[in-house]
Amino acid sequence: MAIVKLFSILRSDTKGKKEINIDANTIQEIIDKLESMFGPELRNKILDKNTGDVRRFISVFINGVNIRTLKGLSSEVKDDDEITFLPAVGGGKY
Amino acid sequence: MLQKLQCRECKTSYEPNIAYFCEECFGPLEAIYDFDSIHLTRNEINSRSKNMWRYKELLPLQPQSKIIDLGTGYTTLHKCDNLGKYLGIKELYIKDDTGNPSASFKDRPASVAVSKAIENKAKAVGCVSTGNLAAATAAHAAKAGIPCYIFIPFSIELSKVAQISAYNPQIIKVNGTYDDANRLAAEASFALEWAIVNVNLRPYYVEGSKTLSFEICEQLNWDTPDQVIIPMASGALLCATDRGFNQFNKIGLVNKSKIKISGAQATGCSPIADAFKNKLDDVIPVREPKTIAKSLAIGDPADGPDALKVINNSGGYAESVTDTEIKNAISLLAKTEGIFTEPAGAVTIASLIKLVKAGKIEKDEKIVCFVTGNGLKSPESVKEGIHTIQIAPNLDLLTEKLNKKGEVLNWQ
Repeated sequence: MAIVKLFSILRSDTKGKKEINIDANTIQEIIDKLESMFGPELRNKILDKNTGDVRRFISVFINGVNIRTLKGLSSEVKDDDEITFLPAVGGGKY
Repeated sequence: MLQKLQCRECKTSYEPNIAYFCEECFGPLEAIYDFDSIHLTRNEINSRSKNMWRYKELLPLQPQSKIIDLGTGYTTLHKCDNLGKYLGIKELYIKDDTGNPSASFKDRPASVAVSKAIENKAKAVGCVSTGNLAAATAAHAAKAGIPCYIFIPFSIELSKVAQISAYNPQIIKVNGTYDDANRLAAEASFALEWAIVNVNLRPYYVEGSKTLSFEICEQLNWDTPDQVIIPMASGALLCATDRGFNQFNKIGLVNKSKIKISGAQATGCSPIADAFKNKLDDVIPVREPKTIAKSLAIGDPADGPDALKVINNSGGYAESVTDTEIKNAISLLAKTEGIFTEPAGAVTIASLIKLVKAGKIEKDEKIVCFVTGNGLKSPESVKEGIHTIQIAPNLDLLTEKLNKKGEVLNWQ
């Protein structure tokens, strides 16, 4: 199971939970599972509805590595990996 | 004066508190001013103290707020005839921010951000830094008497760590890159509610650097340059410089003609320059920056996409230079103009040289290069260039050694 950490604004869609354990192989699967657990609002906040990619002003890290430097939503996730969602600092894609 | 914060993307407005992203779309927030209420004249500015706060109406503090000031700004604009002649440029200037209180341009954003933290009654301030911002933030926090937490990557120069330590902040050395330290600082800003100057105070912090543009206009006798060449790390300085020229134009203090805004990076970490050269709209992060210009070693530049837009819209250029070119430029600037810069400042000079060689600089353009940090901050970058003569204290030995070197002995 990966450990998913969400920043404050996203927690309003997770009933206040800031850490959630999720069994998944990719970041895309994690977002799909978050949607099935908490509804479509959270997914809509994370993903751009036009491109289907992570919104420009949200950063997703696997063990501190930005998924933009990996394979984006297809980046692989393993057991005990720490997945962090954070608002971008500055002009985005951070 | 400051009116509000506004989301750069969806334009949602917010009170000017400690915040940096839009709660609707997560876009970055920026400071919005009520320009109709600003009646700043050249005479009024001339009558004020020679520091960055002479433009206080264009900085994001409330009028009654306490300013944390160490005397930052109004640094020298050198007319560089020697270097200009060497490069074949008639009017070349260096905006020399090595003379700021903590010896880099970062005193400008730090002064604004720490003042804003005090205005908002923050319990602690901090920053994530490659060194220069850390020194500037810690110095201003010391002056303000507020606790300070500094996040730095483990690899920054010892001389910078020594300077930071003297101001007595809590230094947190992160085993990783600047980008790793930045992510940790962002998490800490949420979890610990610290006012991190370049994270949750970022909308205010970035405003301090635009005073460089104000000063350049004033020092050019209320004129604007044809081109400025600016070192890029996050890209925030370049964006602030453009904003500064635009704001002075907006309130009628200069008649801004077209200014090319050009950016400079080191090839070991050049995500913005690479995007420019490859005609991309987006900036692809560099995972492991490798350059002696450590203060520019930000692989994932926060304002990279905006900096790229500014460069393209202005007709400017983005150039990247090797570590060897940087070292040569440090030496060239020092021996032609007497200015000792850290590698980041030499990146602009080395880029200027490349742009001249590529025919991208007109000989009669009025060029301003930014030198943003003092060479004493990273002396190890010039250690290969140290040449001395070591002798016993004896005049015959001295003349013998100098004769061997072919030095001129008689000046009369």
